[in-house]
Amino acid sequence: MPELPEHAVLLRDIERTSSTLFRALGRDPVLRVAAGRTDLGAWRDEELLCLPQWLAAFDDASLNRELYLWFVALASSFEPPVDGDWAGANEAAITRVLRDRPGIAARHDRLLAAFAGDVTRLHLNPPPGASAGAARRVRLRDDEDDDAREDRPRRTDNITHTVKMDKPAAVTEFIRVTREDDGESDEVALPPTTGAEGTSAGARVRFDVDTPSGPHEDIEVGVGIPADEWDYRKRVLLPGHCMVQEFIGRSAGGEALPERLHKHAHKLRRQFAALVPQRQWLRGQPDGTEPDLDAYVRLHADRIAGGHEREQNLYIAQRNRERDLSCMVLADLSLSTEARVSPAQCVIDVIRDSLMLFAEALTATGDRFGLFGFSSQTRAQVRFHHLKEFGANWDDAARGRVAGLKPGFYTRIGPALRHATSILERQDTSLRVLLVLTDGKPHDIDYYEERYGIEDTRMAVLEARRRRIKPFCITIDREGSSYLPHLFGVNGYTVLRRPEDLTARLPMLYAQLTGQA
Amino acid sequence: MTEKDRELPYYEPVGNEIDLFERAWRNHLPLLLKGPTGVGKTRFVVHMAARLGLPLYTIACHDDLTAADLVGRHLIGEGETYWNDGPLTRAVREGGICYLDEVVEARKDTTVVIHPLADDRRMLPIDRTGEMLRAPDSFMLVVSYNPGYQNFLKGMKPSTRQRFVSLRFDFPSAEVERSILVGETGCSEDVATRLVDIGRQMRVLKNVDLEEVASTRLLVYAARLIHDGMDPVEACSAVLVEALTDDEDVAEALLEVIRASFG
Repeated sequence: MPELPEHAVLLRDIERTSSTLFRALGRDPVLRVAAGRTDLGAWRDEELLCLPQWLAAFDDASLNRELYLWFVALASSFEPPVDGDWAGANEAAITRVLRDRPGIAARHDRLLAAFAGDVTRLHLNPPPGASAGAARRVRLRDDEDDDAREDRPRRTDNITHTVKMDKPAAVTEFIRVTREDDGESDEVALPPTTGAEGTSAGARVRFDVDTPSGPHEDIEVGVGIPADEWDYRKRVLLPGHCMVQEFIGRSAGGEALPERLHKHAHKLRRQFAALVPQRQWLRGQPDGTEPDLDAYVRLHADRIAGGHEREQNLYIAQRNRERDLSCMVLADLSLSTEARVSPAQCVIDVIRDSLMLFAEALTATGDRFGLFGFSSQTRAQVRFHHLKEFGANWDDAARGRVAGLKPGFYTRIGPALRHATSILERQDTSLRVLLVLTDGKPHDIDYYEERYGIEDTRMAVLEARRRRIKPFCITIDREGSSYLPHLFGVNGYTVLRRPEDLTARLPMLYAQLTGQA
Repeated sequence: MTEKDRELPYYEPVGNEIDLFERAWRNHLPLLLKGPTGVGKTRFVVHMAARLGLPLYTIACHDDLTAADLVGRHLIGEGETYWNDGPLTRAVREGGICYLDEVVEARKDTTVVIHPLADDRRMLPIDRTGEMLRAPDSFMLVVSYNPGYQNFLKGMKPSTRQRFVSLRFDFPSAEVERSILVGETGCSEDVATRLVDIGRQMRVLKNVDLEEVASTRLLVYAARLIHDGMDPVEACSAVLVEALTDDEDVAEALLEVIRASFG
C-alpha cells in the first residue's frame, strides 16, 4: 500500500461499525460490508456493500469518516436498478434516506458542500464486472499497485461503461486476479461464483485440488445417513438432500501420546483438573438450608460462659455444582488444512495436536467427550470420521486414529453440523458443547459456496441451538470476522491469529464455554 | 373504563392473553409464559394479580436457589428453632399467585418441588415440618422463561414443562409498541415512532452483533428520559447502546442508528 496521507481513514478501523450499521439500517442480518479496491469507489449488489479500503477524498479525517458512514446509510436504502439506471437508483435512494432518516440530512449537506455540490460523488457504483460473482473476486486482492485515486466515475447515466472505458487496467486486473485465484491454494479464496454458475471457472479450480485422502485407510461404516440442507433462496430445508458417510479411522495399531506433547499434556491435565467441581457442605454459614447445630451449641456455650458475642453463622449450606456436560470436538479435515502455518507445521498438524491435547485434558475433568472429523465431496458424500466415541475410552487405539488423520476434500459444514448435532443430542447431559475447529469458510465443489454455504451453516447452527446444543467455532481464518458473527453469533466463535496458540488457549476457552471461568 | 381498571398497573394486551390467564386460573391450571426479556411478562403477571385481586409472590430464580428458599426453613431464635415459610408456601397458604421468573435458571432439584403443585393434586408437602398443604382454589402457579436466552444449556425438564398451559410473548407490533411507549411515559407520538423504529433496527442484529436486543422495557426507559427533557441521542445512548453492548465498534454503529433517526 502506498503511503497514505494523514487524513486518510482506513476501512479496517471502521469496518465492524459499518457492517453492524449496514445490517441495522437495512434490517437484514445477512447484509455484509466488504473491503474493495480504492479505485472502484463504493459499490453494492444484492448482498454486500463494498467499500474502498481507505478514503482520502477530503483532507479532513472526520469528513472521510462521514463519507464512509454516508455510503453505509445510502446503501441500506438502495435498491440496485433492474434497468441499469444507476443514477436514478441513487437519486431515489438519497430521497428515501433523507426522508426516513432525518438525522442523516446534516451529514448529506456537509458532504455535498465539501464536494462542491457534485452529488454524483455521493453515489454508489454498480458492481464491477457483469455478474455479481465476478465482482466479488476483486476483493481478494489488495490494490497495492493502485494509487491514491479517489475519483469515482463522473456524472453519467451508465457508470458501468464509464468504469470500463476509464479503466481498462481494472478490467484486465479482474482477469488476472481470477487466474491467480485459480492457481493459489483455495482455503482463503472465496468461491468466485454462486448458484447456477457453479460450473464455471471456480468449480474447475476445485477439481485441481481434489486429491483423495486415501479412503483405504479408513473403514466406511453403514450405507450413509441422509442429512438436510438449507436452501436460502427458496427458504426451505431440503430434507435428506445430502448423504453423510461415516468412517471409523483405522488405527495404526495403537499409539501412545507423542513424546513432544507430554509436557504440555501434563500441564493441561493439571489446569483442567481444577475444573472438576467439589460438592460439599459448608458449615457455619450466615445463610443456608439447615441449622448448624454444632455452631449453635458453641454459640450457646460461649454465651453461658460469658464470652464475646460472635457472629451468628449458624447454618449449613451445600455448594452444589454438578458438572453435567458432554463435549464434541468436530475437526475440519478438508484439504485446505494442508496449508502451512509455519515452516514446520501445517494446519492439520495443529488440529491433530490440539485433538490429542484436548482429549488428554478432558480425561482429567471426567467430562464426557467425543472426537470427530469431517470433510465433503459434493452433497453426495459428507465424510464424517469417528475418532473417539462418547462412550469409548481415550486409549492408544483412539490416539492412533487421531495420529493417522489426513486432510482431503472440501468443507460442507452444514450437514456435518447437523449430523454432529444428532449424535450430541443423544448424550444425556444438561450441557452439550459442540466445538468446531476449522480453517475457513464453508465450501464444496458443487453449488455449496459463498452465501449458499454460509446460510446453510448458519441454519445448522441455529438448529443445534434450538436443540439445546451450544456450538462454538474456533477458526484460524483471519477473514473469519467478516462472516463468523453471522454464522455463530457474537459470542459463538473465536479467531486465532496464530494457530499454534490453540493449545494454549483451549483451557480458558473450555472453562468459559462450560461456565466455570 | 371502570373504576377498577383505572387502578390496575398499565398493561397493553397484544392478544387473548388476559382471557387465557383468567381461564387457566379458574380451571386451576398452572401457566408458563415464554418470551424474550423485557416484553412485559412480569408486567402482565402483576397486572393480572391486581385484576384478580390476589396477592402476588414473585421469585427471581437463579443458580443457587434451593428448595428451602422456596418452601421455607428452620431459623434459629433464642434457645429454639422456628419454622419460617418461604414465598411459595406463603402463596399457597394465602391462595395467591406464585410467580417463578426465569424458572430455567433454577436448579433441577429445586423445580421438582413445584411438581405436586402443578398437577391436579395441587399439594405442597413440607418435609421438614411434616405438613401437607392443599392449595386453595384461588392459588395459581405461574412460571416464565426466555427461550432465546444464551443460557439455553439448562433448558426446562420436559416433565416440568408439560404441566403448564403455555403462552408465548414476543416483541409487540410497531403500533402496539408505540402505544405502550405513549401510554407508559406520555411521550409524543413522534418520539415513540422514532424509538420503535430504532428498536426494530436493533432487533435485526440479534445473534449476529448483539446477544440481547432492545426490549420494550428499554424503549420505555428511553422515552421516559426524553419526555423528561433529555437530549434524545444522549438518552438512547445511555439506555440502549450501553445496555446492549460493551463492544466499542458495535456501540458506535448503534449510536449511528440513533443519530440517523434523531439527528
